[in-house]
Amino acid sequence: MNEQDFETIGPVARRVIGALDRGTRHLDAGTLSRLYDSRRRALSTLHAHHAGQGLLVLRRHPALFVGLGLISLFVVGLWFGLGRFVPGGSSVSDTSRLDIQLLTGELPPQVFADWSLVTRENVDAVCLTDS
Amino acid sequence: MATHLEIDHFLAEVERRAYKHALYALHDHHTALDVVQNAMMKLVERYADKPVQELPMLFQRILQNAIHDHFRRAKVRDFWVRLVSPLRDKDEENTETLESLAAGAEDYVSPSPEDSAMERQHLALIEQAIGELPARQREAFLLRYWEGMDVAETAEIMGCSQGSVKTHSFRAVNTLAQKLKKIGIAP
Repeated sequence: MNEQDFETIGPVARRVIGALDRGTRHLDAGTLSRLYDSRRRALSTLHAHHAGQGLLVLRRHPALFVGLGLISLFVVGLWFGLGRFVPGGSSVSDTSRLDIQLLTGELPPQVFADWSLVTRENVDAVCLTDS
Repeated sequence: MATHLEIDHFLAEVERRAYKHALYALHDHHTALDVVQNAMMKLVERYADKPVQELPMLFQRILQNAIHDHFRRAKVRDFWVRLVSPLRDKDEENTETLESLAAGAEDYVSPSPEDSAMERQHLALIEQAIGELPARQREAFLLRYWEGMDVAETAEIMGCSQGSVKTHSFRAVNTLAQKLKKIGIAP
């Protein structure tokens, strides 16, 4: 309570609040012990909560669990899918060669947007856009 | 997010007043302690991730709800007891009430060798006057003046308008003034 509040609530409330505050300072040992135990018990719940936080969060938020599962599946699918279209990936020299071919006009500029062109180019370095 | 230490300090600071809140409302020492424990558990289980500034209001709301829930359960239990035993002895009921009142009066007295007998008596009378206030007036008075909540916060905890809080607080102060005057402890 601040001073302004005390001025507005008047002497009655001030007297009562003062008495109540004094009353809380003189609780018997049994009550204090029980309150202490309650606090410890509540805080031990917090320990348990923190210890298994990841699992508990998923248990409490099933939508988050489903979302994470779907994202994981998508990432794994993407990984395997790309692996099929880009066998062995591309090396630095391949990329440099492609750049040179692009600059010299052997390959069209949009070749990087077409994975099948890149794949075929890696196998056989022929201009793929003969039309 | 409140740290373990912050929650510990908060609970340590509020636990005694919370117990008294519950005791004034429930008039039973053990039930009051149970209610406070449940409120602490709920606060930690549900709101440990909240900032420490929000804890007082959340705790008071949980505590008030727990007290109301206790009354609701008691009401349902009484209904079934009365339904099952319609021929219950009236005298027995009165005896029980007197016993519970006597037990409640014992709870109100806080034995302390340091305090004078007069001061203890005054404290007991003031606490009794608080306990006799209508529930809403008592809630408004304690939250507003003892817990230091503002009108808006008190209204949110009590689930009523700010005008109602002001009215309940005003009436509580008036009632207490009259009672204190009657028992000779007018300020």
